[in-house]
Amino acid sequence: MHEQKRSPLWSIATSVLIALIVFSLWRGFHTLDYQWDFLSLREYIWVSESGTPGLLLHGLWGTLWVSALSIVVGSVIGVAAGLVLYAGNSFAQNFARFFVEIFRNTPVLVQLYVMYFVVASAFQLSAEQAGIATLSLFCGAYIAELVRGTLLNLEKGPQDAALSLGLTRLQIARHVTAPLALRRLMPSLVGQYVSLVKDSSLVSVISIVELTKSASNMVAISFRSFEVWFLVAVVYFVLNFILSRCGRWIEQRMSADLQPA
Amino acid sequence: MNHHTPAIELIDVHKIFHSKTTTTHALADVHLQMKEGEVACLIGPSGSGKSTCLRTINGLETITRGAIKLFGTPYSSASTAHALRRDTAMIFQRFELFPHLTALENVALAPRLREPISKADALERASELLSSVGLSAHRDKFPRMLSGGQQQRVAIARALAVRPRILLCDEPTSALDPELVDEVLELLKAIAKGGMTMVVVTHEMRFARQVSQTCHFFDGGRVVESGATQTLLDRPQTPRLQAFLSSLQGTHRR
Ligand SMILES: Nc1ncnc2c1ncn2[C@@H]1O[C@H](COP(=O)(O)OP(=O)(O)O)[C@@H](O)[C@H]1O
Ligand SMILES: [Mg+2]
Repeated sequence: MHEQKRSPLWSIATSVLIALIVFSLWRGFHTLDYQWDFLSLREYIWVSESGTPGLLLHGLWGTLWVSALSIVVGSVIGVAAGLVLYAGNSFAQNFARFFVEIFRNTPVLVQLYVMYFVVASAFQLSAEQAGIATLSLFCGAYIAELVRGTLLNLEKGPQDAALSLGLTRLQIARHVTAPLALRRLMPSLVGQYVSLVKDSSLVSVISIVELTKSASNMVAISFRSFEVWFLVAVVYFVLNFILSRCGRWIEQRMSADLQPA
Repeated sequence: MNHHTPAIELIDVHKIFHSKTTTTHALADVHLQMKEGEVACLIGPSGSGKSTCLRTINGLETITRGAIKLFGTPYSSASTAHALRRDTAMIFQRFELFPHLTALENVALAPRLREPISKADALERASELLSSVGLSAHRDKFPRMLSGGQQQRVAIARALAVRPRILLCDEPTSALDPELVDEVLELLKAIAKGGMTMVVVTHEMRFARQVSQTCHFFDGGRVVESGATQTLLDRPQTPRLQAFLSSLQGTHRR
């Protein structure tokens, strides 16, 4: 509905922007004087002799499951920590606050190294476990802050009304607060998930096989770095585009009352 | 139930709000008593503690000192508060409908969760209540698609759906456009005629005269004057109530 209301100026601006991008790419390609060869990448997608997935698909699979697991675990951690920040007792609150600040204010890369070389060796964790644990905690710290902010800014009227009708705290949380908070949360939550998919490329530094790791390997074998990185960028874009669209769809499903009749 | 037990009893109620910089004595030394079936109006200037008073009767605010009893049972712990809250229902100035639910679902939610009845029965009851407030045609609309008057009538149906023994109304028409006020007041009058125990905060003095037997004037968190509605409004004793009533004449209809 928003799209239809945009002025013609908007489409002119978009067209100009796209033209600019195409022009700079075209110029770049020309000045580089580089022989583009995307076709040589075929065997990294699908190995025709053996009929098995190639490096790129292996990497894609890695990115998918590492991200998916981190998103699920991170959301659970984030919601739990967010609830504690919002309504926990002061001891729990300080604990959650400490966790959130640590993970929000240090680079993920450093977190990964610490988790892999210190925590993982102490507890005999695999690289995958260390990577997913780090991404989950990192993502959870951000989600915690989102959850706290959303609950704090939610208008209290409907909750008061539910209380005055004699519903229990749990019933109110389940039927009033959660649906209202969740749909308020959705856009920033999806933004967080998109960031996480991109940040998952960092786990390549602890040699987990995912897209970015596969891409480095492909470059090492084929020497086609431009083509490889271009392709990988497109794959990340498509992944995140689909993710954002799903988020939008869910958001609209949850806000039937906000749609025009 | 003993006929002499008051429906509502406030004994020496104090409520103090603490914030970082200020403490507000929102209620001070409030004594009130209401019989079952009585309709009482609370009047007074803005900030005088009327809303706070209603919210303490409903257990939405805990009190700093004193006691509140509904049908003889005092609010003493979280569990009695929950049990007592089930006897009361509240109408808010800003309606406070659940924005994500349709009119019908708004009314059906509490009965469905509180009582051992099927979802179908809850919806059936909600449907009947919505027709009784004249909103059958709007049962599947969301609150934001309804006018203020319609939203308030849904809120009234929602409150009645839990079959309360006491109905608390906090300025039920203050947020409405003038032409929508009467549809809500007519409905509340009908409910009062039906014998409901009601406490109504209002600036509509004509309405107060029509529905209420008693009237309490709040100022600065205290009940400054109480009495039979007619007497209180026609022959105000305190200068503050006299000043308040004459200030209303300028801005509100009587
Ligand atoms: N939740 C709250 N926190 C702090 N102060 C409050 C709160 N609610 C009400 N007050 C204060 O208590 C006083 C009485 O408010 P209220 O009961 O809303 O008055 P009325 O309904 O008569 O206009 C006001 O000074 C108001 O600012
Ligand atoms: Mg008020």
